[in-house]
Amino acid sequence: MSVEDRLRAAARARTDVVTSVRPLELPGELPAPVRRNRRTSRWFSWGAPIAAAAVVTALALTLALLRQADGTQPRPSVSTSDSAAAASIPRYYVELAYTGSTSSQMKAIVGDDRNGRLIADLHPTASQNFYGVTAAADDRTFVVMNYDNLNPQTTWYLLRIAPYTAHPARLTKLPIKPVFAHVSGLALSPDGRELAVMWRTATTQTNAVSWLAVYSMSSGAKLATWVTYGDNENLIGGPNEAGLSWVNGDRGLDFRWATPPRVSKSGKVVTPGKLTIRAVDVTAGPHDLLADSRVVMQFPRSVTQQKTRTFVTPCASSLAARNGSVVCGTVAASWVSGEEGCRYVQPSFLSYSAAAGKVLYRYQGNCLNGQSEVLWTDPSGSHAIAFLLLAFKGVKASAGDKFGVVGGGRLTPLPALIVPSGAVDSAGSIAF
Amino acid sequence: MQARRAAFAGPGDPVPLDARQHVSALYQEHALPLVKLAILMTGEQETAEDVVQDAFLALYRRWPSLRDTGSAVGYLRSTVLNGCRMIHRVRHRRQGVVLDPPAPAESAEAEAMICEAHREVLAALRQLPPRQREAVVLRYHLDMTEQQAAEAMGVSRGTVKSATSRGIAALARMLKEEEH
Repeated sequence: MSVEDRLRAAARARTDVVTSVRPLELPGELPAPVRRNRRTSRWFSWGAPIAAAAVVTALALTLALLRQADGTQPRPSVSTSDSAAAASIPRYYVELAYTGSTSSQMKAIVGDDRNGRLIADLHPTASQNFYGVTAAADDRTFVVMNYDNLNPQTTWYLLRIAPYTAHPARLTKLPIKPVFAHVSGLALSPDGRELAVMWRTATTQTNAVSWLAVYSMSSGAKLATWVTYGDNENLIGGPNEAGLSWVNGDRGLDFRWATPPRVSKSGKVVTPGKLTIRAVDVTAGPHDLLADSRVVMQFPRSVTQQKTRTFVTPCASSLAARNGSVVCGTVAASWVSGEEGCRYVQPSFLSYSAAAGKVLYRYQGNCLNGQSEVLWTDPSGSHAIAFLLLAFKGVKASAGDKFGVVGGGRLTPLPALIVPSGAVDSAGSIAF
Repeated sequence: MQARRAAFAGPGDPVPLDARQHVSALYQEHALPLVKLAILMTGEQETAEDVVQDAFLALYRRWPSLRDTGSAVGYLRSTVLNGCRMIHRVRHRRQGVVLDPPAPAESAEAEAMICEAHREVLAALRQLPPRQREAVVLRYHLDMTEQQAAEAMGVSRGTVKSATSRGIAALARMLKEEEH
């Protein structure tokens, strides 16, 4: 074999191993065009700082004179609890959205909720598909979940952002072993050191196996695993349908566990279905998911009111705050088509502690039905970032979208939040 | 909803969508072959992916001033080759202070799938000077003509011819030495 042929064969053997590349990371904005005017740039090199210093000095002198003139100290602006809450919400977020109106592929955008700027737009390669995201508490660290269509498995990427720099986002594949199942719970610990993942494997309706695992972000090692056999209804939904959340100083995990109703052969409900919020201590020993976790809250799956022909799902979506309180979003609707359910039952967000529930916000007004998604909660569970989807009679559903911070009975909109076309806006599809 | 969408087009002038879409579409189509090219040049997949990402980022930044968007692929290939040369220069400088530099690491998967004979060829390829390596990879891996390789490398056709010839001769010599 000639050297050329050996070279061809070796190059092909080496490159055939590579079947995918990591997604492209593009910044949100192009840098301003550089002016090449010599005189201007020279002036800017020393003139601009002097001018800026002069302006600052003049401003300081003016303020000092004004203070002396009326003899009083300038009063700080009064900060309301809402503005304080708004100031403490994370500034940067990652949101998943379909790449096109007819595409089933999802990309990720990084945005700034203070000014509406797009920090980065992350496009997966043709065979890849982002379908979940979670955030640490530092407002810079995220984990993006990726599904490979060619080689069906779920893998994870660390997404580190550095807003307004030359490289605003960097994706690095995590050394975590791929999962070959539908993931329905995803939570990065607030310190960014551990990733909790919940998934279910099933080949029939009755042989489901549910898993919860905690991985080291640095080594990819599986630090703990819990498993349980049996059906769990809510583990078949969105990327964090399970409401997986870190609590108790990163030592515990809360998750939703829904059991279906038991129905007799005649169709009569023997035992109603129920939703529980369960807590597991990640520092304790092994590892049966149900035996090792305790129920911290329990909700009825749905409450119907025959008289008004309405129903409420009290905790349709939820996340646990770091202090253990649980923020729930409700679904409220009429079961009669076209009838305005919100006249009798209002979609709302409530924060539950072990002692009592507290209304963070309740929508007041008419609507056909309302759906509430909890997307983020502060450590105390007194404020949450939420998405309220209201459907009005004769109006397209999107007209009722409300995105904002709920707390103190109010919903404070986040007008600068980018909602790209095709965004999913559910827990696990947007992370703060 | 409209207010939120308006914020998208607000101050800060986000990149026009067509630039983003064009570059993303180019990435989907050409990223993998470019990464493969960069792997042969650098020997490492992670470095290769970094080089390719930087090339697409550079293209994205230059997109508004790009006169002929049809030449984007050629621009990308040249940028990738430049990036690989830069990697080589950095390594060369580091080798001055590191007594025993580790060999470029192949991934475990690549290690397992590449047989010993191929590994020898790839190791020999990595020892070629960058220009010779580029020439033989473009000519014999990408099956480019001398003219196409010259355009990608930014050199004359004669330079490609001589670099290819010297590269193949050097490879033959190194592989013969391995056999003995």
